[in-house]
Amino acid sequence: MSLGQRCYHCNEPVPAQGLWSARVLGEDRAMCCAGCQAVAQAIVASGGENYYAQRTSNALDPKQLDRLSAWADLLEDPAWTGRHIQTVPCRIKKSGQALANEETDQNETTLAIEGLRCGACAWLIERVLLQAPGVSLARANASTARLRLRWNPNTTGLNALSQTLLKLGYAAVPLGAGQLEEQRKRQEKLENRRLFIAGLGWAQVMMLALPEYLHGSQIDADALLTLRLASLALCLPVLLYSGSGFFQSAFTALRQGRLNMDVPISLGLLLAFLGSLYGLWAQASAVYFESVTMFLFLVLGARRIESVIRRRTMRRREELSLEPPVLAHRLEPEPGDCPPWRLQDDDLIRVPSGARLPADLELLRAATELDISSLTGEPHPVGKEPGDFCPEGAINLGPELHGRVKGSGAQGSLARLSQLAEAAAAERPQWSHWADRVATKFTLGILTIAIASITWAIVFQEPLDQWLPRLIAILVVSCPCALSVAGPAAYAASLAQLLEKGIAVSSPDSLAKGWALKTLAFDKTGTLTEPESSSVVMQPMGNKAYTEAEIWEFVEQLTENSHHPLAMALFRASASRFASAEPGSGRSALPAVQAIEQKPGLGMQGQTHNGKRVRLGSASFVQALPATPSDANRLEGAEMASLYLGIEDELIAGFWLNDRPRPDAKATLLELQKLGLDLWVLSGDRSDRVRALAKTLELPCLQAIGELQPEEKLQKLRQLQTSGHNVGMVGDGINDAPVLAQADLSIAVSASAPLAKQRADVYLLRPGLRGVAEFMNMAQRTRTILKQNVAWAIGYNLTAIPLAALGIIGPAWAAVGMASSSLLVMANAARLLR
Amino acid sequence: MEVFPILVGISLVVVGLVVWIYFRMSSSGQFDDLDSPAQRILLDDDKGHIASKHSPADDSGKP
Repeated sequence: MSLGQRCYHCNEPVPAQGLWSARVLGEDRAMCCAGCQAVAQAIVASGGENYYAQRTSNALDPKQLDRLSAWADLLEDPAWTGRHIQTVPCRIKKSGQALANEETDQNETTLAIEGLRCGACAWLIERVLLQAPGVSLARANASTARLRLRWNPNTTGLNALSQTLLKLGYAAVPLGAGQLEEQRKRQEKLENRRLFIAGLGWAQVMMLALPEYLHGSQIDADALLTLRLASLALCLPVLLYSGSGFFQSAFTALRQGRLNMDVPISLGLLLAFLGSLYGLWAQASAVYFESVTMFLFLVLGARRIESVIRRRTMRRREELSLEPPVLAHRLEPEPGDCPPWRLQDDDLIRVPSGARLPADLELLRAATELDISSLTGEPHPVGKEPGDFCPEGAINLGPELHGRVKGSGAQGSLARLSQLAEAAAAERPQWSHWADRVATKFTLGILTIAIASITWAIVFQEPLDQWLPRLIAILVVSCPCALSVAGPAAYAASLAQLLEKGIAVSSPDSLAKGWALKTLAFDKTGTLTEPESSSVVMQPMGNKAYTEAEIWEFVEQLTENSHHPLAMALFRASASRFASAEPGSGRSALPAVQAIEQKPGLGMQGQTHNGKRVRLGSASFVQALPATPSDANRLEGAEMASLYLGIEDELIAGFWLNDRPRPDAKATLLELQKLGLDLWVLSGDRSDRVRALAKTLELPCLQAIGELQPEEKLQKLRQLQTSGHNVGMVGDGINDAPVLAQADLSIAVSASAPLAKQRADVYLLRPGLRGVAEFMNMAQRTRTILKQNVAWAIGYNLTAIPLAALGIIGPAWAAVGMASSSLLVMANAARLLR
Repeated sequence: MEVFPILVGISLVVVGLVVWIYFRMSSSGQFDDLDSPAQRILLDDDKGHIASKHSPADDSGKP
């Protein structure tokens, strides 16, 4: 690949031959693919060129949109439109203005937009949609990636509009859970308002308290009373409005017999407020209204940082859980593939081995096993008998199954959408329970100290003026935040940041596993090397009855519809050969090969027009010899062994495939080595090839072993583990699923087998290996931040609580201390977002 | 010093006014997206832009 040449549109590397470019802002810009070129040209043609000048983040690679474009179909489905499109009567009055150019009823909805990332995107989307006929309102929100759209249903439709967006490199995705969306928006607004009120209240009360701070003794009693009354007038509504979240949470916890962090916070707030009220009444020497408001503001500020981080993580998770809809293979009533929401009750469908169930099914004919871990978390396969109910979303582990659809597909798909959104929102990982336990113990400790302090006061008959400030200070000064809020926030921040970099992490625990790793093992083919860029050498064999063009044409036809990595490599080779062919050596009029089928683990087979059997695969398969185990293994496609093309039993050509290391493999391995990891390559390929690869990478530390059968790989991994190390495995799961499962941490590269994606701790969404190093780095950084926060929390609390208990720190300074400590640890956690 | 309580009272009224204005701003969705409006005004101002009759500004008000 050429050095540093990156696509102007999406910033992916530009291939060496540099075929694509587009003229943007007066210059020819290199593009990485035809998709980016088309999108860039469409943007320029629509007059939205300024987008490129103003954008603050790169565009999405249009290839990534393909997987989502099928969702657009659901936008036209009555099951969705019925629930999510509102009709706006004509000439609606809003903010006192009659809307122009709306003579008929308008439709309105909100959509999620994949690829909407910055203000410039929002501008471009609005601009282009508003130019489209029939659109009267388009409002894109860059921070939530949502689009509000109002249009005239007689002039245009959602499908047409989403096609327009697709041309510009954005995919419109139906929102599954409108209610949840609304609820989240309301919550965010409430948080903002509470924070604002607390901040404003603090500033005002502080202003009123300042004269007393500075010249307390010189102020006459009437003026002092006025100032204190005004403080009360400000403090009470602030406490009730901004503090209600704490009070509710504390009350709920107490009623359920639990303790949480909000209990001492609420107690501190209430005591400080009631104490001030008493001070006002008794004309005491001090009131603490300013401490109450300051404490509220700063604690709310820390919480706000936490919720920003959490929301960001949640939104990214939701986007990611939006996978392309699984196409259903319908057998009855009309055979063919269709999106799952077109399925009707009682349709008959088939689900291939290893595929996801597109709808709820009643199993017919044969028994099978399902992986339902994505639905219930149940890790073991579940057996199903004919007649049993099989839930949508499960993965078929057995052979191809036939089933009858239960309920309408549209309902199922919609339910799945909202279910995903809700699951992401409700996710409560392990560490939050741990954080709760810490908070409980901490609170218990603080309350004990507070009670001891009161007992002391009663025993020694101290005046109220002395023990009340001390009690308030104790309750206010303690800061469990670093453990119970900042810890989870740090995890959430690193998850959000990893998602941003295209790394999906199954659970926050994986981060902890990541930083404990000592050894990392790689699979070779498809992991360290990239099958996509492999070069193919073809050599005609036998009596040479066929021309090269004919041989390639057989290959092209046989491999066209196969998703096998080897077949795909061959198909690409033949396609690129024909694309660059000189006149005369292009496609001949070879009659189509018929009855093409894939023989799992063996190869491809078809029939020529004159009824001869044509096969592509290992020599033994092509020559119809009994397959030896080693041959079968080769053909599983894990290793780039030679393939043959044969007609009847005669070999007519051989293919040599040579896979190259991924462009970023070396840099990644070097970085991992710097992190102090032992690196291994465990491969089933021939040892000389594996050694050659290690040599190409020029990494002496890389320990490479070849010719490992899958069981031997597993053994080797166990052996590494027994030497006391945590071992991670990076693979694509095509035939190393058991090894991935055995590893302490499994990382699946992009384009892995579905099961590996499902089960892996870490899944790279972008091609390449860079994500492995990024993940390991992030895990290390998370650990550092957590350590810092815990150290701070222990140090701070051990100093501050005794000082407060001895009466050295008063309530005001206690509030400053606690709140700034919370802000500090939260800000520290938020550093992971960068 | 008779003016003192009056001044304090006025400041309370001003605070109330500020709160009312803030709540109205927050309801109108002004804080929903802090990124795009700033960009929008820059982009729309640049060369080659044909003022659209549906320009977002004259629409039904804020989202």
